[in-house]
Amino acid sequence: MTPEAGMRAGQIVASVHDGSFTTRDVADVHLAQIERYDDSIQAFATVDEDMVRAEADWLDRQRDAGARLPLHGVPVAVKDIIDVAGLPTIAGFEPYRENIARQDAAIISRLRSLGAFVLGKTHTTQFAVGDPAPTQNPWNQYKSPAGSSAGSGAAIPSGMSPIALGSQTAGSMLRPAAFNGCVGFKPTRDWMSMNGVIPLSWSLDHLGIYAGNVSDVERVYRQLAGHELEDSDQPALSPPRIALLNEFLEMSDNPVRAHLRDIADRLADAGATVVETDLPVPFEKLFSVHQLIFSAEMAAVHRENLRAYPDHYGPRIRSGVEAGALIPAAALLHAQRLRRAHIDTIDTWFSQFDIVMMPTVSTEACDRAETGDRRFQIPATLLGLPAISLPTGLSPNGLPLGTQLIGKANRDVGLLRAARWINEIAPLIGIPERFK
Amino acid sequence: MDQRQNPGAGEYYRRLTSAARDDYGEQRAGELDDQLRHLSEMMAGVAGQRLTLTDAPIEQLPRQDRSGQ
Repeated sequence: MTPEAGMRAGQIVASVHDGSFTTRDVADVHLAQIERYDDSIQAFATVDEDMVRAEADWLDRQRDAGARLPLHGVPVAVKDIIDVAGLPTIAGFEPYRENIARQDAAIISRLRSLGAFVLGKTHTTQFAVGDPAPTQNPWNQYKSPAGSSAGSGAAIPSGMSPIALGSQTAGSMLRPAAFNGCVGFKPTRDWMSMNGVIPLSWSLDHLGIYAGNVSDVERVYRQLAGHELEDSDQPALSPPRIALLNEFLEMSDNPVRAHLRDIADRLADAGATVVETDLPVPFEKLFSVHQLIFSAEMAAVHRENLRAYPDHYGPRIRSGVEAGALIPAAALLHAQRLRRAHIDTIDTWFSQFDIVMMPTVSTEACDRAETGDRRFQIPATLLGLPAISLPTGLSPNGLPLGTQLIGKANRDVGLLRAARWINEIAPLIGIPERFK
Repeated sequence: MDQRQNPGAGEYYRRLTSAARDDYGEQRAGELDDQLRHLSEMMAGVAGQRLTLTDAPIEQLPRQDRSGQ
């Protein structure tokens, strides 16, 4: 038996455990897929083939010695703001091209201890802000792969990696999942140490996981977060109580709105309780609070570096940093207090539902000069709630559409189980034909 | 929370533009205009959301590092 590009992580682990194939086989097939497609897709900023093969061989020796690790043989593509020892952390910023990480970020150390290996570093918008990355959308080369985790989002549906890591400070995990047509999961804030990750906004930054299916996301999340082991292929929970958010449907383009209504109808037919409602805090209030915190913290992170390298900063991040530096301290503190108040208000409201459902993005993938509408991903980021985007359909233009599910704080596993139940009713779109 | 009408973004825009001129010069302040307009609207949106003196105190202590958990 030989591995294939596009295999599920769960299949890889089982096959490496039972000896059907080796981690080296897994590495070779994914390196071949990168060789074949990445000249056009440009998901990867750095791939060190020798390092990949050496790590795969080491994992095979571990297996030969009797080890059966929980993620044994699973390749992971890593957003290029996350340190991987021996590889540069460029972050889309030319002066960092030789910025070789001396040690792994906390999440990479954990992945390696679980038997996964790093396939390479993926393109990001510069410092995870809004200046587009070079990556193409695997479904249409003229369309945006979104941002900031553009390369990680594109690596999954092009069969180059079964798992990828990204980050979200506004919408940078979920929007690439929707535009590229993969599953993207942003757990509850603070689920994982940010050590070894270039920050953008300390209080808003989240790490997240991409995969081609919910089971693989759950498998990796459970292992990383240290949840009690449980077979992630087991049947999901009973039909959930779903809050379908009208405000966001009204802000969506017609194909997005029609698709989500169709999904909601199918879930209701299958036994879910679907209630059309709104958050108890209007979106515009959440948006302004997020934008003030985001802008002020981004300015604090980047101000000194911008002074040192003004000509190397992209126009959007540069103007964002300069404007953010002008925010008065009292305004920032007021925004932080409002954030706390809104978290409490929405937490109380959430007790009547299991999950919130809304489109991941208001539109299908936009043109490549932009990275897309970040508004719909901001509530979960600001509130620190777990959120997942499922690629549940294609637009009339043949582009993926995402369904966003938001769970309660620290109920990440419950959200993932609800996502698996929904998947049984609304199957995922799979990957484009040309990558199979 | 008392949710009074937002005061509008004009005054914030004037203050931000003035500060940008002081810090970055006339030309750069002009290039930042879109950002300054956006930010002034956001500041007005935040200022329009009122809290009592005792609502939502800021947590002063840093969180524990959770590496390895």
